[in-house]
Amino acid sequence: MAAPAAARALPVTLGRLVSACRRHVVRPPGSGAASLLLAPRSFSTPSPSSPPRLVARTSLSQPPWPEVVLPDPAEESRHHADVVAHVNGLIAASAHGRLFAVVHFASHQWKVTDGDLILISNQLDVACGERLRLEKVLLVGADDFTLLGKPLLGKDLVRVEATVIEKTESWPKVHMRFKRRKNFRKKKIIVNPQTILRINSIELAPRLC
Amino acid sequence: MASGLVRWLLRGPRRLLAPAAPAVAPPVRGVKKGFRAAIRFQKELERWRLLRCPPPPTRRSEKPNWDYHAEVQAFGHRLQETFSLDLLKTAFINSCYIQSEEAKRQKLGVSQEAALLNLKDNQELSEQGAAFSQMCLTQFLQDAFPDLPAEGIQALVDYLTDEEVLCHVARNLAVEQLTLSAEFPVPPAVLRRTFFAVIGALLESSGPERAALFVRDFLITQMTGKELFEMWQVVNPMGLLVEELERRKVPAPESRLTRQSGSTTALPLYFVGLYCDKKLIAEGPGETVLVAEEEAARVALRKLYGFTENRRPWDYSKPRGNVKAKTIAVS
Amino acid sequence: MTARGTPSRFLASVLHNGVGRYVQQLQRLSFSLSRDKPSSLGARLPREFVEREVTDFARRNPGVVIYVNVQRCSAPTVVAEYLNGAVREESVQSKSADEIAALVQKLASQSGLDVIRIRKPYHTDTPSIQGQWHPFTNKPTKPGSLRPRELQGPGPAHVQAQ
Repeated sequence: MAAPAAARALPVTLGRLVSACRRHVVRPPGSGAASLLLAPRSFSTPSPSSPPRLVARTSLSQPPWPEVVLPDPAEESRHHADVVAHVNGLIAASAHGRLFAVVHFASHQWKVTDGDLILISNQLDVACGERLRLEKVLLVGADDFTLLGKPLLGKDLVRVEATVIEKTESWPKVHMRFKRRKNFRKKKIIVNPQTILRINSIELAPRLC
Repeated sequence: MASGLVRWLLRGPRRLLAPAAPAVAPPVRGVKKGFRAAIRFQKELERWRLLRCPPPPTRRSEKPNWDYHAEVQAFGHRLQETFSLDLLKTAFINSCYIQSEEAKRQKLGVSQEAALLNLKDNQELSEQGAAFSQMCLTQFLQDAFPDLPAEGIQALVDYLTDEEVLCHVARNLAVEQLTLSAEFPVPPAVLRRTFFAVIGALLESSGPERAALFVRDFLITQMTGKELFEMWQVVNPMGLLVEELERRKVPAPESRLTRQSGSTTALPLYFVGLYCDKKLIAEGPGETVLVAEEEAARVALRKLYGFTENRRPWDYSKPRGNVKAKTIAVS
Repeated sequence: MTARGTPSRFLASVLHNGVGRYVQQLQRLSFSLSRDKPSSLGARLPREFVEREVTDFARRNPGVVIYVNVQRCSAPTVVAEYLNGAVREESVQSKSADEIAALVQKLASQSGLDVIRIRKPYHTDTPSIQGQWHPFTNKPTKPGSLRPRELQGPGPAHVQAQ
């Protein structure tokens, strides 16, 4: 909850504002802007023209949204540090609840939590019942925070473990090719090897030993 | 001519009234000609008959390829446990089996003394196992959910040691095939007793630590994906919530409608929030305001008891030193 | 050819296998071989497997009970029985010892659930951890915005009149 608030990048918001303004110039809003004239709201932006010429308050002279006040950079960095300290405290006390992770495995990205099942259409060279460690972790999230890797999270930060519980085969898929009136008919039955993994644990740094 | 007509008339109605001759042969039209096709069709008919009235279930031990000793040995290896074989065999023998066998022998004319089977039934082991698993589950759940009240813990333990859950576990661990009972299919009560006896045998042969791990791996796992009130039937969640809040010295909750949508349609939706001290403690959806309020109370209870969906998952890792000490202290 | 009409299931496991500990799901393997046809290659190859490799397999998998029956049968078969009650019968006629070893290994590492189309390659019991999205997520709960639409009409008009 707190981390997204910190991650909210204000320059992005500004950029969006500029583009929206341009759009408004091309196509001024209808009733929404008109009703705003009546609304007893005062825009805090002083008009750039200094002479006391009366300018009608339209969407062309002033944007119809309240001015965006950027937070003080020092205050923002303090807030950022607070958020980081809070998340670090949660991790150190392991007070976060269930974790989920986005794991890159078998050329797919899987969103997994503890106790999930994953089916991989490939044969692994691991016997059933053995544990694997899934090392390419892109993201770990809990209820209150999300850790994003750039692109991966470090091996000493997260550990995702899985057990191979089944090595089986897919159902026989029938691949039929047929051209009418051409005496052409080919039937191929495809069976792929499959592996089923059970995610056992997702652990964050202080619990790793 | 006339007599012939009369005869035909006499015969006619009778033929009409008589029931159609039963079709002994299968419908001729769908059958392919030829001997092999006829045999194949007979097999198909047999298959249909079996599908329509399947044969009564038979014990695995009455089918070919059954070596009881080897099966019992493999049972322990499969579960990665070391059972003492005598205890395990005793655990599978129910008293009803001994009685029925003795009755069978006496019916065959064996004298009373010779008919007695020199077998011990699993009564003792199953009582031991039941007591141990009750205690073990209670301890596990109390450690995992310290905020849950005693009734809740008891409800969870009752759910996990219920016939339905235990029979499901026992059937998928091949306990049912090994059970010796008078009736077949094995009645759930007998199967439950046998499963407890297996736990008792494990407790006797490899100690409380392994038995606690067994209970954790096969009974606690049955809780995954289950929600608290699926296992614990609470009739009046709002009353329970008020009691809980009183115990924690928090003022009584006030419910407020926070969101609603489509109230005049066939699919209305209401969100009710519960506020304590003007702070939102829970919010729940529902099709009517009352249902939503009850759901909000359930959400609040789940939060209070630490049983939310995103709680910390159960730790199934290998036990470390202190956990071992704890389980020993339990037993 | 589409697969919509074929039988299907979701990804599952027996008794949450692997959450606590891993339990091998194969419980019994029965080979039935013919003694009367030693000359036929199709019957001889499975016998080779049984003579050479079955004991190794049994030693590696102590939780599997193996039965070898020598009886009159037209085709040598292997029947696998699983913990959930499933029974699979495979013919091993004209298969070499290596092929049969691979087949038996495959049977040993399966779980006994039906081999049919699996609808999704993942299964989870807790689909959402940060809270499930619903149309009211991140929407303010203002008292004014709560009214149903038919009651909302006079509200703004009243404000405008002021």
